[in-house]
Amino acid sequence: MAAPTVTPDDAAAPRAARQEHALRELLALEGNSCCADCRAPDPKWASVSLGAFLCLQCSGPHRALGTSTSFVLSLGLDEWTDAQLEQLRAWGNARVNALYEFHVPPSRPHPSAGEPREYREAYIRDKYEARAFTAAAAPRGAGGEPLRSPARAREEEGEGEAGAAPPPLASSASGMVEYVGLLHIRPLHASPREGGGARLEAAVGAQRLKGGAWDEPLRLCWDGRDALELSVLPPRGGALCSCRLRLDGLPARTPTALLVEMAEGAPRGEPAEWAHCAAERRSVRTTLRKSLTSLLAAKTAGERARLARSDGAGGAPPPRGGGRGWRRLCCCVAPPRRREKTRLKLELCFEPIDH
Amino acid sequence: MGLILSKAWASLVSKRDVRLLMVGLDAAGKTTVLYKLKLGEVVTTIPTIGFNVESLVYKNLSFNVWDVGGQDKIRPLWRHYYANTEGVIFVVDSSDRDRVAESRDELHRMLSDDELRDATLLVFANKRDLPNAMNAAEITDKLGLHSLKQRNWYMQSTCATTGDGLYEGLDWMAQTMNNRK
Repeated sequence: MAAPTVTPDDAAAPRAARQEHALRELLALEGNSCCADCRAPDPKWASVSLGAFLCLQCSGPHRALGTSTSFVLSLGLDEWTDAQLEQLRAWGNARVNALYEFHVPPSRPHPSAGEPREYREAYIRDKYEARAFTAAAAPRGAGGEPLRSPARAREEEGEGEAGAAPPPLASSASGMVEYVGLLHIRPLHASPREGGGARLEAAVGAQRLKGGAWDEPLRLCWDGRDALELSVLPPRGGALCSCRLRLDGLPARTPTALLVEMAEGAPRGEPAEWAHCAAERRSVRTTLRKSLTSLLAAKTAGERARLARSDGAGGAPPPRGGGRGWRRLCCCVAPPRRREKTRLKLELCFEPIDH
Repeated sequence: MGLILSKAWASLVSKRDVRLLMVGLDAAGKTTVLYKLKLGEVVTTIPTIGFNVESLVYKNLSFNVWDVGGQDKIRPLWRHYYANTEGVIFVVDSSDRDRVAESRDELHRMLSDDELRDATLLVFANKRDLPNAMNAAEITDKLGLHSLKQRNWYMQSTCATTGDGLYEGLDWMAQTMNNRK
């Protein structure tokens, strides 16, 4: 199987590293550690044409302005030219807001990080398209000079916003969903009737994805953080005693623990007979070896079990090569027998471990 | 007789599944197109990191439309969605003159993949309402569509936010798929 994660070509690697380094330096500059519009911490996007760092939520309205007003790129997912980096260096959030937020009337404060989209959109449109908060649009003082809004002046002097708490420090848990990789979910086996009309269904958030034929793998991009729900639907009018799935291309970078939840394995109140997961580390190239990995046995529906990074359980040997993250996961689930129309549901998500 | 009738009935009732892949550079308007078609509304989109998938029932076909993110580093993932794709919707930002050459390169790279050998191509020249937008003929030329000899393709200029042009394009796709059956 082709490697599902995107790795830069060897030739492009130094360039990618240079870009990452340059962007990290720019992010460290004052004003750039939060979104230029809503001040959410840890911006992962930027408007190249304006030279402003943005959060994911604000990047949407920016893109709606059209590329001639605001050309948005991702810091991590796009390749940057030197000229584009230079533009960001020349501007940056402080200078952008000195221009575009010269006078922000108290009735139109900048959106907050959790702002609903309507206000955020309207604000961004007024700020950049109508240029409604620039010095040219500001009310005039007695001498004819444009007046600054007090809140803006304070913010610029480093006093923080009037009455507003400083934005929380950036943490890996907050901020944006980052692309991790493409997940292949391959149904291996379903009994009693293999391939007899059983279907696979995956859901991430509100998005549902139904598989076609049983042997057709599902492919989906998954951030590894939002819970992924996998359901195996029994064939029409049939029963499902057990099934086995294989997941390839699990995020290799971020995850530290894998939570597997039997969300709805068995009919309500009835314990599932067993659920069993085995995971293979990235560094291990041999076939799946159950002995190497933690095993879990979620005895009841809704019970959570965890595959932690320290494979302590069962006295398994430590992973070689310092490999991190899961590359492959096999799930086998068996609800109680003699049940008709059982729907198996597995919920997978990663959670960071506190060290 | 009963068999014939049941088959006829099935063909009337059941919708053929058609898998469509919608790709294009970032910020071309793919997600806006998808949800305008699905919901009839303009939704506020944020950059797609990963994919969106929706099924649209249209003219006795059930289109499964996959909308895949267009950022540089996500583009290599497009190929994972090629299998069983019968049609490609390629979305271009008509006002983005600077990147139309990049669009052309991505389009031709994708079409050279063997898995898309038989896929029909619908090009949406989106954002036609923006000032300085290129017209359909200019985009056809700049994307090098005339060089596609074996390919069944169609160019449609659109404005996803008003919905203009979207159904014209989908009509063509539906007709092509029905002829193929």
